[in-house]
Amino acid sequence: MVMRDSVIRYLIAAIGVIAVLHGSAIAGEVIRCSGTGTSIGGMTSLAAEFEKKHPGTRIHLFPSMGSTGGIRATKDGKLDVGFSARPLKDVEKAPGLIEEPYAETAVVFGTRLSNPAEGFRLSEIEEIYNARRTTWADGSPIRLALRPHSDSYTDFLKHIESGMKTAVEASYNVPGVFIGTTDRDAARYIERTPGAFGVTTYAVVTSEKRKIKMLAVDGVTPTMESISSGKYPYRITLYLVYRKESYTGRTKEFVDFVFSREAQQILLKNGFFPLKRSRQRMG
Amino acid sequence: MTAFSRSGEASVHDVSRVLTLLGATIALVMAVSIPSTYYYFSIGAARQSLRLETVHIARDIENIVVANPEMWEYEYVRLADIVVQPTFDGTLDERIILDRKGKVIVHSMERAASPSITATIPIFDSGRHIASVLGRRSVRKIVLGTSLMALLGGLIGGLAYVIFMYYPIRMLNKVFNDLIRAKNKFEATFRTIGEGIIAIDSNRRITNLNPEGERLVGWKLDEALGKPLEDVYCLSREDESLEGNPGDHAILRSRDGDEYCIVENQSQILDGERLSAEKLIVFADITARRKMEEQLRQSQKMEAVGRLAGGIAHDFNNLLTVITGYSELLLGQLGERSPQYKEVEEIKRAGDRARSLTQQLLAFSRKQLLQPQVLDLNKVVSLMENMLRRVIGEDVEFRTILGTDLERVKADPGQVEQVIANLVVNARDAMPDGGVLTIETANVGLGEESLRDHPSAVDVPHVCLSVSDTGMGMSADVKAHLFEPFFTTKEKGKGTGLGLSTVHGIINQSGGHVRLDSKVGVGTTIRIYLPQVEGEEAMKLPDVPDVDLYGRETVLLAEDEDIVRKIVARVLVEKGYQVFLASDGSEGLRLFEEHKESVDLLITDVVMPGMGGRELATRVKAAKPGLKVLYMSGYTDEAINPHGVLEEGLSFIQKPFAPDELLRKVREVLEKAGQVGDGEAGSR
Repeated sequence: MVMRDSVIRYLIAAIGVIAVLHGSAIAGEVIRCSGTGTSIGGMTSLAAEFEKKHPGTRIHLFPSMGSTGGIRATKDGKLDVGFSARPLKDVEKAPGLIEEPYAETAVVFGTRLSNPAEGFRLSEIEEIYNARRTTWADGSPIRLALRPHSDSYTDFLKHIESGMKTAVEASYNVPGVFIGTTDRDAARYIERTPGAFGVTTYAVVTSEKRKIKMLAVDGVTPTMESISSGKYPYRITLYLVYRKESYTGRTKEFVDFVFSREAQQILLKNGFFPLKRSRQRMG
Repeated sequence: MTAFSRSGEASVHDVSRVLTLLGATIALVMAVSIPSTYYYFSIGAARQSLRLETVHIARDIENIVVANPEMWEYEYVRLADIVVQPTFDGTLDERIILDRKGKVIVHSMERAASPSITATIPIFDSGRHIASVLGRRSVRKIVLGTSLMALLGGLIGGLAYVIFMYYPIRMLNKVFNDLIRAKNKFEATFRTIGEGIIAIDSNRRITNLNPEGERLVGWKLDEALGKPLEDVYCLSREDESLEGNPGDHAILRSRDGDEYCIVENQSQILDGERLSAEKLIVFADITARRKMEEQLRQSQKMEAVGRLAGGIAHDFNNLLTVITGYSELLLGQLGERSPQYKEVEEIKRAGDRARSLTQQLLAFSRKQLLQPQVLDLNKVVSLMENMLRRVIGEDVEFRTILGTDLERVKADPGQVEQVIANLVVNARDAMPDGGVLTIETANVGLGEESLRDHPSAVDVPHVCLSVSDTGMGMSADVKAHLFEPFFTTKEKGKGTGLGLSTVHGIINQSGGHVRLDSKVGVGTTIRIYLPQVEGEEAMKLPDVPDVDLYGRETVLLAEDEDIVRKIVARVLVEKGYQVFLASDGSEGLRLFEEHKESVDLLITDVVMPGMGGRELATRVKAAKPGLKVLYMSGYTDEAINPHGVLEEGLSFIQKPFAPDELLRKVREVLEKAGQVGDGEAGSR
């Protein structure tokens, strides 16, 4: 027995060593991720869960660098997984570069929680952007928070309708207007600045627990229901971007994990509307 | 002045050229400096601004680097947002973020148009140089602006050039034109002034000489330039005994040996406000003036002698009238067989000679009364020819060359005859051993010499009558005194010394003049010039009419001199006239009023105490127009006529006269159709 125990012990030890050796190779892996700030909040929760399941593996979430930065860095091999709030542009596509939509969320117009306003018609939002409407109903000033020209949300807003495109372009000429470079910067401005009005996402507000009031548009307030039912129409798709050659090991596991039921539950709680995994999209 | 002129014109050119260069330089500097300055400051400001902006961008990027040092270069949105930030003045620069290897991380959408400037600022991460940001800004606007500034600078420069060239050069031209005008005026004055001018430098060498100066010193300007003054301008004092400035009256001896009497002034030339050592010597030829002064002195002398002679002649004439009158009466009474006849005849002859002498005295002193008439000198000479041949004698050949179509002259025929006679006698006397005596007449103009020697002569056509001999000629000394009264070269008793002075007096009084040409051993020619008259007939020389000297008319005789009154009355009474005698004008007027109806003729002396002859004649003629008047006088002073020439139509008999002369004159007056002008003649 002793012999058998010792054999078992040795076996276990060997397995342990192998496991450790194997595990160390995996356990020491760092998965580098970053990209659009919209994804960061949800991914932080997913990373924690994943690390819990795979001790020794660390998900290194770099500060948000936007969809473009995330795609480029992934393409350059600086990131293992990039987050994008838009599909790849033609110039960004490259052999072996894969993008996968993993969730949707809604683009929302927000203000401070303390603001009594509940919502606007889309036409009123146009007026705010082209500076024809500069005050709230109570007469206090509207402080517009913009996103950079090249930002995905700016692009999204411009495509809502032609009137919005003109208004958004005009908004950059408003003197003293705030431009939040990242989702986080914009969200922070909106929740802190009296009278602030700006665009963010349902996911950011929810996942980061931002003190932001999401305003109704044309009478529809963005909620889980209204968004998932399609009543609230301003939804965007979020993508994972990775290289085919890095789709191995823990990285593969992490990507796959994002599409797991467990992860989708977490995402849903964080304001994301997970998408079922379809075929892989190769760049 | 040539030198002055040349240097003056050169100066205008030089100064104009310097000003043109200066103007062009100023214009060029403005044309270049304005755009250059604009470019320098604009590009400097742009570089500075670009650098500051880029530094600012680099610092912003460093903030991103600090927040995300590992993956900062993938924060495209943020980086792009930084690099597209507009500049302070709202424009957009091209900005590129480059990694250490020069690879582009982010490139702003803006592309700077060329030409451009760049600024590269390093980006650090905790002191490590990790990347750079390159800012590029187009300076096309600055280049365009510089071009505009170049255009503006060119315009301003051109304008400055025009203004600079216009005003100073215009002023300069005006000044130089004034200078040249002044110089031309000076040159014209210098050339034409009637005084000689010599300019000398501080070494007393000649620097200029004007044409009159050339004439007087006999040197041409080109020859005299640079010569010492004393070599060219040779002065000697006119009178060595005189002290003072030798230039006051000096004799200038010309290069040819001619001598001029000159007066001289010297003046130093001002050099700025100081006197320079240069001098101007101005000298005037006063030779002619001296000659005129000499002539004036001569004529004053003659005037004095004339006054004396005239005064004496007046009394003499009265006396001679009596002497010759009574001699003639006596001769008539005695008959040629009377033993006293010869003696009385001698008395009469002596009276005649004395009368002639008196006439000559009056003639040379130009105090005798002339009765000028239009004359043909050829006729006068022809009529005298026989008489003259007798006077000349057989040793001398007598020739006359009478000019054809000889113009008329106006002179007293008797006086002209006397002039010719005097000249012929003198010519004869100059040829004691025989020779040729020529009388020549011709129409002539006055030569320059005559006009110069006789300032009173008028440049009109003249008739010349010359008397030439081939005698011994005259020395300069004789010539100098020839026309003086009582000057004679003849032996004592042979001449009165009044001959030529009489000629001179008569001709001058007739508006003419006399010229003498004489060379020792060759002969002498004396020419008399009388102005021609036009449109009047030459007078036929009066023949002595054979008239009846008796008359029955009533004569009123006014004469203050008793002896004259008596002889005149006696002569008239003897020939049948009835005579009322008055010793002065007042008595004459009273007698006339008493016998107004019967009086046919008034014979009156001109000068009487109280009422003179002229006034008497005027008054009686006023009472009886048409009354004949005969004036008589022994002295023709201004009481007759201020010019000594009897007015036409006035009847006059010169004392002394012979009884026959008086009687002929009385008949002539009584038988004349009428008298005019006598009233006016007495208006003085």
